[in-house]
Amino acid sequence: MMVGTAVAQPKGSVLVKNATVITIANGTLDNTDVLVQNGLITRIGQNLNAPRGVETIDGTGKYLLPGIIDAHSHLALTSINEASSPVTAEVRMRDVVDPNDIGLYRALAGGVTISHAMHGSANVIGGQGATLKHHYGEEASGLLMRDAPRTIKFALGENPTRVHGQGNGVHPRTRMGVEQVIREHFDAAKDYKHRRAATPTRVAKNERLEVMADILDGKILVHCHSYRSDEILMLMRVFNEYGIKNYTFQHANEAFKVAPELAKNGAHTSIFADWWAYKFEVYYSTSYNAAILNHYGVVNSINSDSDELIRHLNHEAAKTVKYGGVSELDALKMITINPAIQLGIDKRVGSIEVGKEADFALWSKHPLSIYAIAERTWVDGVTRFNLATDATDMRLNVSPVGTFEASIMSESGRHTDACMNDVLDFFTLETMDHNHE
Amino acid sequence: MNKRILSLFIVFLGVVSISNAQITEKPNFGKIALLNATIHTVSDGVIENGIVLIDGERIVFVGNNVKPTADYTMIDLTGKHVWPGMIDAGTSLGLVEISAFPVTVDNAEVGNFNPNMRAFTAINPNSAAIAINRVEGVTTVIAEPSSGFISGVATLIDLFGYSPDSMAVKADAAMVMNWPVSGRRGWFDQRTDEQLKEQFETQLKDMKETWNKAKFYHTMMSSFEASPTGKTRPNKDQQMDGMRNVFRGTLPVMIRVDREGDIKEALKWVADNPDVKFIFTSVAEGWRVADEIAAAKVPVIVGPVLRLPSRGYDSYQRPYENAGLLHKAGVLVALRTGQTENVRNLPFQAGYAATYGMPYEEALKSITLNPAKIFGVDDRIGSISEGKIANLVVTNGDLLETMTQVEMVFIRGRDIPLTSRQEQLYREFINRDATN
Amino acid sequence: MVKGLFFCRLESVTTCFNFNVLKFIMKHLKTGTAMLVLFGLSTTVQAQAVPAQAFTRVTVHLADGSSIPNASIVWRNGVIEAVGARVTIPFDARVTDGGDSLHVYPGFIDGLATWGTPEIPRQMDRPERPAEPGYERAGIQPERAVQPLLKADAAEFNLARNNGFTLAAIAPQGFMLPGQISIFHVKGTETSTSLFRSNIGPKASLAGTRGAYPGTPMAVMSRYRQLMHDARTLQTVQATGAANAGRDAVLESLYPVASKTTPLYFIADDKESINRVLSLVDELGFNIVLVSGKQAHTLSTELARRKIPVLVSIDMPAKPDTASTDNQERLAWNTRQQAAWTAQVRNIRTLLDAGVRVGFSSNGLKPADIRKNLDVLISDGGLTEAEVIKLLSSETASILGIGTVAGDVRTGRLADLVVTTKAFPSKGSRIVYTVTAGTQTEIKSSPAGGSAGPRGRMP
Repeated sequence: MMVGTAVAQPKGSVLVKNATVITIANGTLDNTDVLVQNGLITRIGQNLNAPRGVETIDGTGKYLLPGIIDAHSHLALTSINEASSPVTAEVRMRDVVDPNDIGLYRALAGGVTISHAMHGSANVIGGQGATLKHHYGEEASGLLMRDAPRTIKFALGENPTRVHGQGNGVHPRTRMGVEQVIREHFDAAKDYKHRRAATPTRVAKNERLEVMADILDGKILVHCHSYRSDEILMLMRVFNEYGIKNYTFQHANEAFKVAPELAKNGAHTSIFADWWAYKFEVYYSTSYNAAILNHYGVVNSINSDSDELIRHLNHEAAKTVKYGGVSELDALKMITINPAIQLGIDKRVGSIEVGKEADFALWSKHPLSIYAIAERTWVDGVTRFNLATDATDMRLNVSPVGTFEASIMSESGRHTDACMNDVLDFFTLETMDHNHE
Repeated sequence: MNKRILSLFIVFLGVVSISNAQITEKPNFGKIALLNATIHTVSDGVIENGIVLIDGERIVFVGNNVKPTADYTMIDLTGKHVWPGMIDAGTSLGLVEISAFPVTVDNAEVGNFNPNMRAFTAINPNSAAIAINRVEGVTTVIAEPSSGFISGVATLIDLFGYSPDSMAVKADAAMVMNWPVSGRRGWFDQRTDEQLKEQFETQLKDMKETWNKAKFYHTMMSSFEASPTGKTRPNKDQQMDGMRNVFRGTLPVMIRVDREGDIKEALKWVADNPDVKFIFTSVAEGWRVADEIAAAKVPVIVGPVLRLPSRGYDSYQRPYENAGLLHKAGVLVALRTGQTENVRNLPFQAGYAATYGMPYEEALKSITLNPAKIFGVDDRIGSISEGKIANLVVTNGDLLETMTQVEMVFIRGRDIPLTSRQEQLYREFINRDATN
Repeated sequence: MVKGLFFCRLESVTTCFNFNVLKFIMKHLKTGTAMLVLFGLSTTVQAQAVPAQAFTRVTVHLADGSSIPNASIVWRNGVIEAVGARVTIPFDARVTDGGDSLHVYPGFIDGLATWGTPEIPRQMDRPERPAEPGYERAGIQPERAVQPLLKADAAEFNLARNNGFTLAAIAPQGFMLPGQISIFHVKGTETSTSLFRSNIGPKASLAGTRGAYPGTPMAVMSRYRQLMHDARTLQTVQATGAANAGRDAVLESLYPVASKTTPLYFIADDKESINRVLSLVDELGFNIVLVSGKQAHTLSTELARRKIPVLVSIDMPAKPDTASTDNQERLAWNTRQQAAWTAQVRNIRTLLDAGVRVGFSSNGLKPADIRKNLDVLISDGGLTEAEVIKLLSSETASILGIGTVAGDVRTGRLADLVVTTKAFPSKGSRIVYTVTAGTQTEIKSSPAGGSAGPRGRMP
């Protein structure tokens, strides 16, 4: 909690007139107006009038889509992996939000209003996630979505076994070990809760085990990095045993192989549209993953896990139509209401309905078209991106040092895991300029 | 070989055997008539209700007024579109199977100066990624080596065939050169500004020295070959020898360069070497130097289009606009994905370029005719015209639109079955027996 | 001692009677080096019969910005006995005549220095269990005293004194909680043994260690939470007198932090890091002094509201190059960078205007760069000369909790003085003497000259 420095999240009012409104919840409405007052959608209909002082936007010929929600992002974080320990449940991504990340603005320019800022995948049990509203221009605390449910990152398979087993010679080095690390920590949390309840003054509050206990109590939504079907089945088995519900498998390239089991357990998936082959555990995957999961009724979302991909999640969603013929509505659900469900915020965002928070973007064409451009993006009724007034330089924080020519050439494409950032750092034992932050 | 590596190796043998199993049927081949289609010739406009006749590997007719003889297999394409097969001018397809798995990575040889390495040699015709990508309409790719300052020779291949020999459109298409990078390479690059500058200058100096040595070698050998009498035959240097076609002007040098300052330096290099043909590739900041590139008449291969702006203060649109801005300045532009497994996203790279300023026809050319021109094979591929090789794609809509379905792919006249492991997995698991 | 003298021979200081010292002095006298031999005594020796010392005909500048022309200062046993225009000079005072041209200021105080402390090793060993590397490897050593670590012959001590510093709070270098801060008299090679206040509080930061837990700021924050829980619980258990309560030096050293008796001297520079520290303050209930705070101006109102003092770093980047160009994009970029630079050099101004108490810390900045940057504070940072003096003296003293005994030229305070040729720190003024707890040292101008002032020879 950033009590002392918390700032109020700004809320705006606006009337969008005469747009094609893709409500997600109640069909697509032609020539429709949407009125927002103080950050909330108050009316959807025709011939609405703007109350005094409320700006009117002409949406004729344009499409209003709920703000895109990315259920897997590492945007706006100063660190991603605490790779020193296979379990770091105590770590909180909200502690390291960087509100100056230009990536937030670039995401807004792609109609993305909410991202789930996650710990990386180096650890079996990583840190707690932060659900961010893209209030670019506010302080870190202004980005944290108020009262969003707590989440935590788990990770199975190659990454934790590589970092800890191969890298440090500790558990886990295998998928067998991964299961036991999870079980050990749930059991330790149970023991801790008993001890602390018995003698609260003698047993110090344990940051890590408190979080593990909160997972057991259903207070935290688990988002688990996973690829192979066997490890997906393993976690469902363990969670059933410990009574854990409402969880999402992230990446889950082989989820299609166990779609009936996922559906039966009510487990969700959040996947890439078409990435595969960058490592062994994604070699036997298919771009038809979303179509198969959708067919079996699994709540699935399309995510980015990338500062680049987050710029065009609408395009990524369209690929689910291409591969396996997902309906256009279902494709759009995968970047709006479905990720909202997975983050436990579907009562507030993810569709255009009266009473919901006014996160949406006005698109020049149907957002599943490659020719569609997000022209204006609102978060809580406040314009955070406007193509008409978009300036070249949108940085918030300018450094007094550095040169005009400096550029970073980022490799595009998933040749490595974005969510393995900081791990390289971890394996470098050279000290940096630590005294000066 | 230790046990762990051995076991990984065994796992990998399994991979290969499965990928080999994916071609299930022989493609149709012979005389094929595509009827009633909208034909996007790229070279000669759009023909509505048109006909394309394929005889063997070649296109023998494009137009309206013909009645195919009965020996043609007639395919009614009413409502469908026919396009030239797409060409991705920068990939690792066939050279890399799983990028995180070094024993399957064959695009990066040890050493800084490898002009004698040929990508052609290491193309695995049975790579699972080849079928997975061609069924989406990419028929031809540049597969390029990538390490060091001279990486080796890129190859231009069709994505169908049982050997590199049968796949090759041009076995040796271009010498790949990596311009030294003066900026940071990514989030992981924590070198100081001084270190960056020093390393860059050292690299540049080494590069020029090596280049001059190779040039000298070529001059010396040419002089010997012209009149060997009375001269001692110089020893053959395998590496230096690899550069000779470059200096003969028969093998273009494809310089991978991104930063504004580096592009300017590379342009000086181009001016200093008038006998060598150059192509620039990647060119993230090409839009900043578009006029200079145009004046130097260096063709460029832009991409990926879907990449992050290179500077914090750049407009978010710049990477999307880059290809269009270069075209506008008069540069001959092709596109590349820079991909291995997702070369299939090539049409979307062009789609984004078209959305952000590149004329649609030009965007289409940048993934068909322009790369063919750049690699000197536009007499054979890149557009739909009589006499050209029948590399074609049939779709139910706009080639550049995400949701468009590819319905037929022809490579060298062969009607390629649209099956791949990813599609097979779909068919198997969409109707999985949930009790098993 | 002898070795130390060897390294500081340019400054020609003696504080004890010693045959070698005399030999050394004689040598310099013979070579014509101007010498002022002082019979100063260490403050631990408190004898009535100690002679006094005095400056006469000088302009005295007090920390509050006021000045007394044509004044005298008398000190004895390291403490100021009298200051003013009408001071009677005791019969036993050794007098330095200012000749109506010298200016006397309170000695400068460094609120947190790393001078004389070992560097963090470039390479660190790989711990057997990175997840539980032990306190030391984790960078958690709040109980660690700095005294045994100090290198007596560190050149920085001489350089610091030559640049006017008479007191320095010093703590070990390291990661999350590298150790305790102690305050030393800056006395050249004697600094490491001239302790003034020991263990005033732990130095703290959000820096993770390398290759072990906690390695990132986010884990460091979690580790602070856990440490405070553990400390409070252990204290409770110990208070019950339980036989198995156990001891833990690290946790016990945090008891005064938990009870807000002692602040954490928390290093943070950018706005986000400072916000992170503030959130820990709110969660865990401890007091802090913010150290370094290069972007503290971005939170000046908040820091003022919370009454958090800042020992600010003046390590500032060079003024950006704004070479003229007709490239509009570049012009706009230059303008923004220039504004960012101005905001940073006006950091202290902004903090003072918001009502934040601001002292000074070098925190790694080289002594020779301090003077140069002080000039920038006046030329571009919006500070007056008087404000700079106050920052360097009474404000830093007060933040360190020694405001009643140091930091000003007043009767009863430590005799810590800086004497300059012209009003300081205007350009062209040069430090000619420093007085550290009564010990007077003549500062020879370095051949190179320059506004950075005299420099010692690097060993």
